[in-house]
Amino acid sequence: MSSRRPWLLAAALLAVVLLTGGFLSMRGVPWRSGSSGGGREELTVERAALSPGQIVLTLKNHADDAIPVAQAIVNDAFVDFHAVDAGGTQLAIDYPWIEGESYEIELLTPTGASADFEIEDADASS
Amino acid sequence: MLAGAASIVGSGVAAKLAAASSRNTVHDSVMAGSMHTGFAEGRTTVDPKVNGFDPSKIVRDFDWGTTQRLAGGRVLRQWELVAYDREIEIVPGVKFHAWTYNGRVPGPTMRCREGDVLRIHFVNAGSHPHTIHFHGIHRDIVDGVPGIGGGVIDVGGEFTYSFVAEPFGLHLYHCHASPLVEHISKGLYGAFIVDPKQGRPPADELLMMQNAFDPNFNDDNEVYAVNTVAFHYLYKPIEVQRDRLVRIYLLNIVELDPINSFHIHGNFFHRFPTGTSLQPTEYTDTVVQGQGQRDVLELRFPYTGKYMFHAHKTEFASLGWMGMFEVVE
Repeated sequence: MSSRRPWLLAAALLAVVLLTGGFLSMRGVPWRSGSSGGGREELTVERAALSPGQIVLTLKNHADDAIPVAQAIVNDAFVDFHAVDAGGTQLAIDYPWIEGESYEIELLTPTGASADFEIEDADASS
Repeated sequence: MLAGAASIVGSGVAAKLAAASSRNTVHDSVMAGSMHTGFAEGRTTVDPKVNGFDPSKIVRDFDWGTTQRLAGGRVLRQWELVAYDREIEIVPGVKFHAWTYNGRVPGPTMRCREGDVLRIHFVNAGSHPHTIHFHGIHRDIVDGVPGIGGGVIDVGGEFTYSFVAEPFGLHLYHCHASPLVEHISKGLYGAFIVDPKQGRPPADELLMMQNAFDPNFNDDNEVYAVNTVAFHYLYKPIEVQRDRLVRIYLLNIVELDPINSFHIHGNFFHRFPTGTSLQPTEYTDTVVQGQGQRDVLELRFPYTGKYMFHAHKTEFASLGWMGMFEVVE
């Protein structure tokens, strides 16, 4: 894997997502999904919420068919994950994130396509 | 539902999103093969039946071809390699549309002795033009590059590469059609071992092809391995005997990343670069390889137990290039 892409940081300035609720918040940027198919972003990560030791992603399916998530990668390491809700629209990753650091997340689908998400500045503020 | 996803055992649960009629609502959830680099019980690897090849067998699978004695005493050694497309599973739940030699990645480990006459009949049953380029010393007409000799072999075409095996050592073969990165990274490569005439000391011999995959085609590998399947040898350790000589044929065919490395825990090894000398140049526990580089490594395990090996380019380790030796009496 190459190092982080500088353009992601620029993109982060354009799309800041603030989260509230039962989780601590962070700022995140959804970015392009890789695809082994036609390049259409069929699965995207809409937002992320941080709680101590955990990252919860909210997902959106833009396709007509169900899309399983087969593997999750955080900062170039495969990680465990589980569904938060019965519908599988939220996915939780147990991860010892550190405030102020950045995280690249990739969710791989069975076809090898990915839904990618950048946490620019992990934040404990609400 | 895609095959494989539901059958994979792991602690992760896939988020399975809904169809258009009820987007982002529940259909169901399935168990998925979420991997990490820990040692939790119950984790698994790809079922070899899915791929049609088993990394636990590839590691000791050396193909000596079919032989006949030529007038003058030389050995003629022959193989047939067929290129064809095949979907393989590179980490539980994630498929990759590979281009293969004989349906496996890496291709057959071709083994011969210095001075043998080699004849490799190549059939291109794939979806794109391909070649076989062998490392070694030979004439240009059998070099497997575009525009010379057989050149690029079109879909449906055939060609026979014939040359004498030299020098002894650990070599590669791979497709040399353009674009080269694509043809190699999709799986068209294998090891080509030329034994010295006098042979090497008896040993438990292992083939380790360091490779990687970019399943979302973003010019950035997501999955790393030895012999294709991420973490395979972590969950199915390579069993070796205490005090027995182990010889590792280590190659790096990873594209997109300039270097790779091999590190072993609890031990040191003798390093024979490219295997072209019988004298080691180094006694170490870590070796760095560039793209296409090879080394023969020799070691003995003095203690029983489990000993990890992995890339010391540690992000590769966390993305699948990690395994285990299990040393037994």
